[in-house]
Amino acid sequence: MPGSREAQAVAAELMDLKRKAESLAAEVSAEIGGSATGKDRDVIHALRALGRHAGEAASALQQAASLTASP
Amino acid sequence: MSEVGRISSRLRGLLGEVRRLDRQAQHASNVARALATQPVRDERKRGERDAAVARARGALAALTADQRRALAAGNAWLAMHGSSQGGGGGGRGGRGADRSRARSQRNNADRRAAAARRRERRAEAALREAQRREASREMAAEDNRESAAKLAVTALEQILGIPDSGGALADAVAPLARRQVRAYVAMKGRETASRVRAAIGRLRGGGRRSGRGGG
Repeated sequence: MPGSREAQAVAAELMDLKRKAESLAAEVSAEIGGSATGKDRDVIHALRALGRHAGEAASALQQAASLTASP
Repeated sequence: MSEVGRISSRLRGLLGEVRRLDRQAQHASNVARALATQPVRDERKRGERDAAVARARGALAALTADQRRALAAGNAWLAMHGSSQGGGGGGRGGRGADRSRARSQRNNADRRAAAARRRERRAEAALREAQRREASREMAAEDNRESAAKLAVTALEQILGIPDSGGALADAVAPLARRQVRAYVAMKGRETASRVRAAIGRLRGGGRRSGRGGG
């Protein structure tokens, strides 16, 4: 189904965003290490939350797409 | 490039993507909603599908909130580490860079305010100087007029042979400009000279007549 294929494509984009956000959060965390300030922690938390929610949305969308693909 | 510089560069790239998330999340949400309208014969599967769509839409709504937080935090982080990329201290030097930037901004604002005050003072001084010159010119012109009028009155007294005891001549001359006074004096002088010449002529004529008659 066209809607299902589009949903898979959007899910792939969201997964890509999840990977980037999580990888960057890990890098910032490793770079700043134990000396993280408030702003450092803010950016790490925001990126982790972004990655987590992007991953959740991607997997839910993929599941919905796969359930819809074969009615 | 330093570690912080590399992270800053990647963070900028990711923040660009995060900025575009509004449309992406909206599009993803629309796609999820459209999926929920697709027919699924199996009731259990349809229930699971609907639940997945609801989860996806919930996560996308949370993603939109994360977007704002990530942009704010990312921009603050970049601002804090921005100048440390130039090798100005590294590590915790970001705070020093922050303070330095804030100090620089304050100094710039102070300099601009001082420059504005200087311009204002210069403008006021120029205005006062212009007013002083104008007043000086007016006084000089007044002095010139008075001096010219006095000279004119004296000249008229001598030409006409009458003293300006009542001040009539002075009154007549006072409102006149120097050029007009000069012209007036010259006119009166010519009239007087003409009368004198006529009188001399009459005297001479009489003298000649008497002389010729006598000779």
